Amino acid sequence: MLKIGSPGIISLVFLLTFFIPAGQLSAQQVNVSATLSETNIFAGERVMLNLKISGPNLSSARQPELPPINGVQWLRNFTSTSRSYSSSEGISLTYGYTLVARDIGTFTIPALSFQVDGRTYTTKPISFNILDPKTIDQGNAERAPDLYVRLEPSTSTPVIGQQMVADIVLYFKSGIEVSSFQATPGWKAEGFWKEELENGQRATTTSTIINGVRYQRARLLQYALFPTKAGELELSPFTISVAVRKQGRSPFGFGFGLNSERTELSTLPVTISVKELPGLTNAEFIGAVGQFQITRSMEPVTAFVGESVEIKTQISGTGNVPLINKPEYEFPEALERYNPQENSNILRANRVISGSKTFTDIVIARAEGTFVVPEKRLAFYDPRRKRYDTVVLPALTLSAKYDPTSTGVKETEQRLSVTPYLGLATWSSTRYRSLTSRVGVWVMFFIPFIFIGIGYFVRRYRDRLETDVAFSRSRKASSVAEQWLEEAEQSDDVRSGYHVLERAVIQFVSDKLNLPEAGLSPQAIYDALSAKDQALANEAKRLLDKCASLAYAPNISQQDLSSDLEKAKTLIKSLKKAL
Amino acid sequence: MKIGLACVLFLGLCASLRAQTPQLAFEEANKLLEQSQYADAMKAYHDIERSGNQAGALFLNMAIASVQLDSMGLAKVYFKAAGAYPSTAESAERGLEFVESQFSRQSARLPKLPWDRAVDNLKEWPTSFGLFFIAFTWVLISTALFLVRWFSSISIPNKNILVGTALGFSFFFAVLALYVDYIELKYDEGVIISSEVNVMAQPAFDANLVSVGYEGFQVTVDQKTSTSEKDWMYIRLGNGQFGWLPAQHVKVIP
Repeated sequence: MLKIGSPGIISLVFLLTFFIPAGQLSAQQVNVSATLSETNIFAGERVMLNLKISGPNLSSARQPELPPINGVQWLRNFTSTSRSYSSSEGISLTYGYTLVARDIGTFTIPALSFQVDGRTYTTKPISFNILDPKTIDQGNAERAPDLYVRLEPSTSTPVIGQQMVADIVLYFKSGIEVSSFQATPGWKAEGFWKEELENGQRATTTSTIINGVRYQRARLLQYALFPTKAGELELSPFTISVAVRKQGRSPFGFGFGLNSERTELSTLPVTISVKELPGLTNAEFIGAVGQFQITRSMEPVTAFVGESVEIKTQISGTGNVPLINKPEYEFPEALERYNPQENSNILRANRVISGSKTFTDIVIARAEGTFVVPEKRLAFYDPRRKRYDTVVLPALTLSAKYDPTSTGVKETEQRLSVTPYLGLATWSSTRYRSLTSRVGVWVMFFIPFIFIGIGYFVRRYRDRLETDVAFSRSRKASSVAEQWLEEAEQSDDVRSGYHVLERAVIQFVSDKLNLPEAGLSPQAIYDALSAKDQALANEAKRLLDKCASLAYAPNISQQDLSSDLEKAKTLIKSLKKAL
Repeated sequence: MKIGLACVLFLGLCASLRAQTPQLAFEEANKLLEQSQYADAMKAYHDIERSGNQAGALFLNMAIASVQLDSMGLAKVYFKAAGAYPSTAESAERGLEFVESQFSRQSARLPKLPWDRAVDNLKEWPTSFGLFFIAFTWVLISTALFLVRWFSSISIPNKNILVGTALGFSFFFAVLALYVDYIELKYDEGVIISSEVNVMAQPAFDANLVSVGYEGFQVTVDQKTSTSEKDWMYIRLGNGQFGWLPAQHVKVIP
């Protein structure tokens, strides 16, 4: 017998039996039920049939007689009666009948009738098997372990996020008493979100036959597991420590716990094949897998600018509540968002995780106006129906205006008092341009050098004019010659004019070639020019010869002089280039 | 003569067309702003800015659109930019006052050193180009003195000292112009436009945290150092701390 719990529950039942007013139970109905302690029985084994009747007033109830039941014999001397009370059922009477299996086969305990306050209540029939003890493989029974622990998942092929329950179940043979157990901490369920479910203080046992061996089966712990990824995931061994006591070890039949042993048991690893969720396109999947209701609300819907507004999204139901993600909404840009809040209320009773999760978005309107949070389609996956359920959250509208009574805030801080500039704008180029990329800077950089360079050359030229006579005569030759020619042009006397003309040509050539000015004959000029340019030398000699011969000519005209002056100018021009 | 006149007319026409293009786009964007299509208006203003055109009116309207889009950091950037133009300085100041009041966190700002303040003033006026022009003027004076000594018989007492002094001035202003130019290119003022951003000791998300910057914090961006790391900016916070943050969280004031 597995004994887990405390006597406090019995005391509570006692107190409630005597102090709860009967009127509270008057509305309760009478219920009857029949249970068989074993449904697979070996011939010769005893089995207990319990008939339970519960209701507000059972004073008229009487223990019914069992009719003959095929396959079993009722041991009349081993009949019991017990009475209990619970707040939900009221008073309960349980009649126990001990039966002995006689015949081999499948039989049925027929429906049994009760008479309570003149009314008849009937139980449901119970089917059971009586097995032949000869079928027991004694070697197999001896090899089977006395006790072991198994990890039994509710499903081995869940989808991501689907809740599954992993039971830690202890199996032990008859004759072994388990007085206590303790789970070894550190069990890992990698790839799963793990939540320990509410476990009863006292584990109830049931009987089962495994490979022809009868075992007592006790569910010690239960965990809700939610796969977080797809693939082959392994649940690692779960280890518990149990204190056991075997009957017959004490020579006196009782041991006061002194002969109990502590044994460590581990489950085998279990592989779970987790499947991917199907694709979803027309809604936002928030990671919820189960059965949920989703609502969204805004509070308040009319607010002042700067006042906080809460948008609550509540997701409640059964499933992976802790793993639900916050839905993302498209808020108008004029609404300033603050860190959202998240609250959850999770229940772990009745082998399911249920509860609610609330996401609160806090927004503040920064300007006047009407702002709409658009409609949103959210989806969760229902593993029972194997499809997504979509919930459409209607749009929310917030109306914001400035608070006319707010004090301590400047007008300029409360609202933007700047109006757009709609006129003609003055445009300029954008970027700052570095000094090195500006042409003007480079021009300014080089201008002083240019000035200095020019000054240097001018000064050198002037110095040479002053110090180099040949250079000076050469540079001034043209202007001196032009002066002479001008004088010749202005001369009234033709002969005198030819004289000046001759002097101009001789002066020019002597200056250019740095020859002595005095005593130069046309032949000397010719000789000097012949080395440079023969044609010009001939032309110069012809002109100078003419000038010399005209001093003795009887009739010469002003026209001849003018003609020769032009020739002289042309000659000097040519000589200027040649020399 | 006629060809010259035609050239002048052609250049004038080109300049007029060039000025009209941003103005037309600006007026289109203003219509969107008046129709409360703030995001579209902002996009149109951005296009104008990206085309290389700037105006105080442009930045002012961008700031107003940013306020309506609830992007206060960006609004601060553009109000600051608009404040640099005389035509929009007053409006920008009022807008800036409003925007500053909207930030939940204000950054501590250490006063700048006198030298930095002086350089900031020089950036405003006479600018680096103006300083270079002053240097150029002094070079011209020294050059003139030099040439006078060469070509003129005019006797100027202490001519060498004068030339040297003028050259010294020109050198000083030239160096100052180059330094202001360097500072202008190296540093920019910016504003954090994200609600919250971590400032890291190194340009990496797993580096040590230096500080946390919030929307509206004005920072100094070291552009030259920032070029060494793509998508990161090296900045100086108002409290004097230096650090790196992702470039998309900071907007440089145009």
